[in-house]
Amino acid sequence: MMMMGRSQASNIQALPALLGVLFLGVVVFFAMNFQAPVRAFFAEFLATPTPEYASLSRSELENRLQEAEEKVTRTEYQSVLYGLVVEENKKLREVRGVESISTAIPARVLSRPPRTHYDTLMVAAGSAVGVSAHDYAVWNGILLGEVISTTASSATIELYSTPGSEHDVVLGTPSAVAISRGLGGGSFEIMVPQEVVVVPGDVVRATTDETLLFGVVVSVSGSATDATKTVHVASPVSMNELDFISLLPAGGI
Amino acid sequence: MNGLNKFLFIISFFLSVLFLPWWVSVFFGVVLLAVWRAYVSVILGAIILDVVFGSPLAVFGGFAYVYTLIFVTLSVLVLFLHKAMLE
Repeated sequence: MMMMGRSQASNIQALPALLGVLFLGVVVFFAMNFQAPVRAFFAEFLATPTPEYASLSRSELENRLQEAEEKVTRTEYQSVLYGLVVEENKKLREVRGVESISTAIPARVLSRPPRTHYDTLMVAAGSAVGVSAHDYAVWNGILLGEVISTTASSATIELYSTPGSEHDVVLGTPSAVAISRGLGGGSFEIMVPQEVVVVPGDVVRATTDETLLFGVVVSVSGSATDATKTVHVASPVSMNELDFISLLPAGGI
Repeated sequence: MNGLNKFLFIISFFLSVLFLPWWVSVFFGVVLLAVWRAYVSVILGAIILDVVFGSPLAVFGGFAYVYTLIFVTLSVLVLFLHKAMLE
């Protein structure tokens, strides 16, 4: 009788845990439906910067307008020169038989690590401007990651340094293709055979396009008697300082 | 006064979820759970965090609701501890 009472009490105590698991299941199952509208709301309203002119006085606004007009005049002159350069570049490309450069989509970064544990960037460019899943995120020739989801006005990019994610890279002398494993925060770990010479400062390149930098070797560890050695690589860009990046079409590089 | 503090903490928690680093949100979440047992607010904030910024993590077998899992676990733990201390 007493045992039955104890069993009922433990059943009641286990109820919150069961409800918690059930609730988690419901969230995992249904939350994807709300992802697009919630992300769009964040990108369009919450992460939009406030207008910087709202609190300025009339005289300050007049000064700024005058400065802006002068700047426009200078820019108009420069644009004429730029047009000439573009024309010359186009002719040279035709002569050399070079195809046109792939069109990168510039995107403002709305959120970046360490906002969350997830190694993701959210950018203010979505499917409305041609961004699609698997597009590459690039900053100054450094490959950062891949678009994993888009809404009309935003895209989420999973950085290659996301813990546990694996990608092919090229490094060392002679050149070897190896698998990099993300450790989070712009760090990677790569196992390479002892025969491949890798020293700190070497560059690691992406296999998708070897002109794009993946990271820089920070240190190499492992005994000379081991078959492989571990190469520690860091991305040369600080993720929390990214303001603008470029998105390249998956088939365009 | 206690109600006002709770309200301010909840507002701070939701703002931190959207605009501040993860550890600030975790701090506010833990305080809200420990002091006021604000389960609903904290779990809702965690869901927003995961839905807006989350991505499937390879280390968790592609699971994309890490913060929700953490805060649901914490909520259940707080509920157990509260009951255990009252008995």
